[in-house]
Amino acid sequence: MDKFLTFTVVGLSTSAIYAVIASGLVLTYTTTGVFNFAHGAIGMLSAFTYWQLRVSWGWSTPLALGVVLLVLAPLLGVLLETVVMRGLQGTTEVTKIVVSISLLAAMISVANWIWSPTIDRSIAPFFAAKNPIKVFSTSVTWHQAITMFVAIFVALALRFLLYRTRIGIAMRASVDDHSLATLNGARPARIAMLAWATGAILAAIGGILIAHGSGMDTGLLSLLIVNAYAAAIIGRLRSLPLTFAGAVVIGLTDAYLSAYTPSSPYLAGLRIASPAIVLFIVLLIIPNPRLRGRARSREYFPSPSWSGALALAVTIIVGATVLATTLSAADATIYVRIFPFAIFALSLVPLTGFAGQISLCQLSFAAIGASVWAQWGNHGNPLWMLAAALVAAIIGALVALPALRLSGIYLALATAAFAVTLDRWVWTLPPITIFGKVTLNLFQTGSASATALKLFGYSFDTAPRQIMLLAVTLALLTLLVVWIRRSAFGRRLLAMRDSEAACATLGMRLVATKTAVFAISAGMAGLGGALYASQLQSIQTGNFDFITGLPILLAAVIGGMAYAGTGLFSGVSLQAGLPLISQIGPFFSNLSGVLPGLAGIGLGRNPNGAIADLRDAFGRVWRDRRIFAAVMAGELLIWVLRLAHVYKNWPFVGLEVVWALAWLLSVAATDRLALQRAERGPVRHTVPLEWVGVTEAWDADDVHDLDRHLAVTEAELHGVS
Amino acid sequence: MKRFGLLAGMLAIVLVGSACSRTSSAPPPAAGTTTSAPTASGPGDFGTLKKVCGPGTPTSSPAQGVTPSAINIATSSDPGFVGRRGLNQEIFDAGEVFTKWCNAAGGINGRKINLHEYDAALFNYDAQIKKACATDFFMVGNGNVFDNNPGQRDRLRCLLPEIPTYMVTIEGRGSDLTVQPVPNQINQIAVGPLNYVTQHFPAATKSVATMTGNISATLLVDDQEAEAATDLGWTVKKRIQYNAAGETTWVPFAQQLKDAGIKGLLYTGEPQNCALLMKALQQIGYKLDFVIVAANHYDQNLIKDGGSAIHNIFMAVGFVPFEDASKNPATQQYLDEFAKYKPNGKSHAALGLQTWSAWLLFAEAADKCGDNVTRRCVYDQALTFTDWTGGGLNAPQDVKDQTAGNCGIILEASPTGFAEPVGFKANSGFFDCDPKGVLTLHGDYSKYGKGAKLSDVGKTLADLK
Repeated sequence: MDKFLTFTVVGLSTSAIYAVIASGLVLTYTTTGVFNFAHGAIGMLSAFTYWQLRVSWGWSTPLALGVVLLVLAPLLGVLLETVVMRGLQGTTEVTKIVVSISLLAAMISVANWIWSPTIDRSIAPFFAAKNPIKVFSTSVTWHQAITMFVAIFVALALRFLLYRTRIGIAMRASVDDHSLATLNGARPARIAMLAWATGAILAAIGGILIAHGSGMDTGLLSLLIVNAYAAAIIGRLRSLPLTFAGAVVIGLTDAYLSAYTPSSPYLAGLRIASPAIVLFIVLLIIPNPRLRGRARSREYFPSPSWSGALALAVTIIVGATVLATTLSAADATIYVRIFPFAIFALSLVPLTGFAGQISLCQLSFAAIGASVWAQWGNHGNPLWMLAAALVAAIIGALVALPALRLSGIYLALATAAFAVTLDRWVWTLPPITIFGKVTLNLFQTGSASATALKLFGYSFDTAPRQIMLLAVTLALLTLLVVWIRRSAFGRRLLAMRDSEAACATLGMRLVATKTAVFAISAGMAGLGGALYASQLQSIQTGNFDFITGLPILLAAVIGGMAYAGTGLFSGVSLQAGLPLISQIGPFFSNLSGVLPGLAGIGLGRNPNGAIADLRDAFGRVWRDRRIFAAVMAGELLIWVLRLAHVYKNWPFVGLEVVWALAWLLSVAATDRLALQRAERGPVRHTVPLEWVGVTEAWDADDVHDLDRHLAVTEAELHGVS
Repeated sequence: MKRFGLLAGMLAIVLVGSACSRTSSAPPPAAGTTTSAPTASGPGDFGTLKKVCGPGTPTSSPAQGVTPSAINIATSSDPGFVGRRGLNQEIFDAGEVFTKWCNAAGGINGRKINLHEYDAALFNYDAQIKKACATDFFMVGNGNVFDNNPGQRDRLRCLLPEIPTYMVTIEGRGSDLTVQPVPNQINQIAVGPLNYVTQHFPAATKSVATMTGNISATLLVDDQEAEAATDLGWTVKKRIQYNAAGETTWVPFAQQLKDAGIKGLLYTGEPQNCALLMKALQQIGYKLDFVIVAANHYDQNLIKDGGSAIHNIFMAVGFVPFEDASKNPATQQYLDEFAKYKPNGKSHAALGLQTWSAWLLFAEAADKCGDNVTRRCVYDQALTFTDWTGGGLNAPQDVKDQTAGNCGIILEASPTGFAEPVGFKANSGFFDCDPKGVLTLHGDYSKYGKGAKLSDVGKTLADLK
């Protein structure tokens, strides 16, 4: 009984922190519809700021707490709402998720920049010097007591805010029916700002309370709230009392598991994974409220043409050839990673881009493929490569089955829970023997060795060969994705993204479609994982963990989720662009950490992604054969001179960048000139514009006139064409 | 990006894994005399070693990277890792200071050391090995967190021998063409602190727990510790894993230990988490009789973070601690050279000392080869030292057999710092040498992988010229 009581107290004090954090999460989600993955990062920044004021500058505790909780945290919340979140209206769930993940990334990078991780920091618990309070047979420290008291206070204060104040009632009204509340004179902007400010304060409280016990680490503090997600989901992302109950469930589960789990290497990871497992189970059993009304999306992705797809495939292979022929053996081992990451990003395209299903566990499927290859592919037999894809596909389908009824943020969290469970528990399991026959040594408890692929006795064991192998695979998969997009199956996926209800009404089999697209996507990731393993030759669970997977989703969304070129774009930006930038110097190295976050945050402004713009520029060049020839001739010349050793790799990269910028800019400039000419040009028609082509002759310049009148930019026009 | 923060934590742990066995020193006879040697030294002398570096008149270019005037030496580490900038910077710092010091004395037999630093930034080990393969003669004083394949195989393929600071992964630790100045074998473990607590806290050894983070590098060491404890007749009652990526609170672990009546703990992890655990124990008012940790806990952060909660934490170190620098000429000289050549460098770091020892071993071996500095000669010469003390920096090591030495110092951490515990008796200079200080393990650790071998790349030792 003592044991039970003791661990109950331990569990409740953890619960209290989760409750505070989760209630902030729920508050911002209900009022603004953004599930804020960066919620923990706000807490982290607050804890570090508190450390700076209290420990480093020696302010008094009340002053430091006051400044952080009452000034800086709400300011940060308001800033986030006005600068970032407001721009997210009318974007898809994926974009919203990615923006908040970007924010998380940017905040961690900024914190690492300001507070160097090489210096050790710690803050003391509150009233550390006072003796613990005796409660029955166990004791409660002052910090634990304060934590629980704060949680209760927060609960009461939120209750008061939401039920007894005008703005709180307006907040609830806007949760219940946003449009109706607005019609009745509620001011959504003020409500959102208040919600974010309150949310930030709650995150800050959680961060400061947790930091003394968990240690001051930027990543750790930002991600600990994964545990609080489950609590928020138990509260169905709307009910604060249920969220508090959820926090108690999570905290107690953790405490009881640590008290009563038998000592076994197979169960050691169970407790560590328990919040993720609870999250997964809760998502499956509780009824999910309908997602907030589907706003019409601002995003638009055109169907790819076969000629464009072929051009892309050729670009991939030519680019790979350039890499394989110019890079030194050392650099090749670094930049070969472009391609596996491109495949991982590409695997998201059918699933997330076409079908609108969010997956945060693509790298887990890759890890499954890699593990299969590491275990059985040690003779380099390509059949095991296919088996790796197949196993990943089957597991993908199995994951899809329970996830069928989930969508949006719920699906994202379920896949995240799956990934975290694998990371924290499954991959660390000792070898498992099934029926005394097959021994599964998943990651050889953390790190496994893999062999290079052999095809008809030809071994892909050098970096240039791997580059070519991976590039050809990427090109083929890219074509596969284009084929999917253009097939009847692809149209079914798009229809499902637009409206599941409509699809079901029309007699479409959602189950089969969803399962199939999950399997295809997981299979692609699994194949990529197996190839990655055969390239790395030594794989660690860290290569495939949840956190490593987030930048891939980020890059894919920044590129534009439904474009086949997203794979290449993500691979190049993550594994070539960022490393190149960080090589310039320490400042740029820090900058490269912040960049993806900033780019993601910018998504709110341009949810169609970067590829839309690139595609325009390429399209313009492609249509004008003279420009196309000139551009290609330039590229060829730069490469040939490099092959002839006229210069080395840095000037080569420099020239490439300058040349690419030159023609991209000149295309843009030509467009602008044409537009200006059209604007400045004489009035060429005597009739209203809509009659041009009917009563008067139509000419090419009329396009610009039309654009101007419709206020469409040139880029948008061609993006749609 | 975000993964870095997390990884940073993980790395620290991985390092630790290595550290544990790395410093698990301890064998035979004693070079006790080394430490008390007279200090009248000339340029190129270090501690007890005479003329490590000095002038000469070399004429030939017998190997890649060796000319009559210079030798290209590669070293590698991970300070460029974005998540923890400056990670193991001491490896580069010590290499730079050694190079300047040695070159000022005339170089190795008149050949100046031309130091090439390769920053793997954690994930690019293989690429750095490939660069070194192209230009350098040897790798010296290097240490990387992910020193596994394919980097190891590439190193063997180009027959680049190394005298590393330390090795981390199993593939690295068991690899060929590696001469560790402080050997670290997979089937051996230093049990100096275990013997110490068996003597001083016999009752506590009957209720012991092991605890580590959930990543392979530390899980391996944890398994080894558990086997060693069982072999010594201890009773391991609990095996605990914590989340290497971080825990919200350490109180449940403290409660778990209290609840199971655990009196002794074998902890494999990083000092920051150890401090958090100690604080949690203090918070619930429970005291362990002993906590045994690896040498990576010889770190001021343990004491800074843990404060008054730090007590009865024991570790073995294989070098003379900085606290004793005034009593040990070699340690003092090491600090003096840092002050002279790199005053802002990371001087007070155990890995720096070990790096210095690696450089000394290389210089001594190369010196014996005279003009004919070939990889084979230096490799063979390095493997002749049976009683290597790094001029008095570290406990004697059998470099020839590459087996762990059985001499070490036991340190106890307390809120005021590190000191030899009550009852610790040095029988050889600063060190206690005890044939039972190293235990040979019999467990099957093959599930954790195996070392990279020359035969893996179709070569033999005869190919090393």
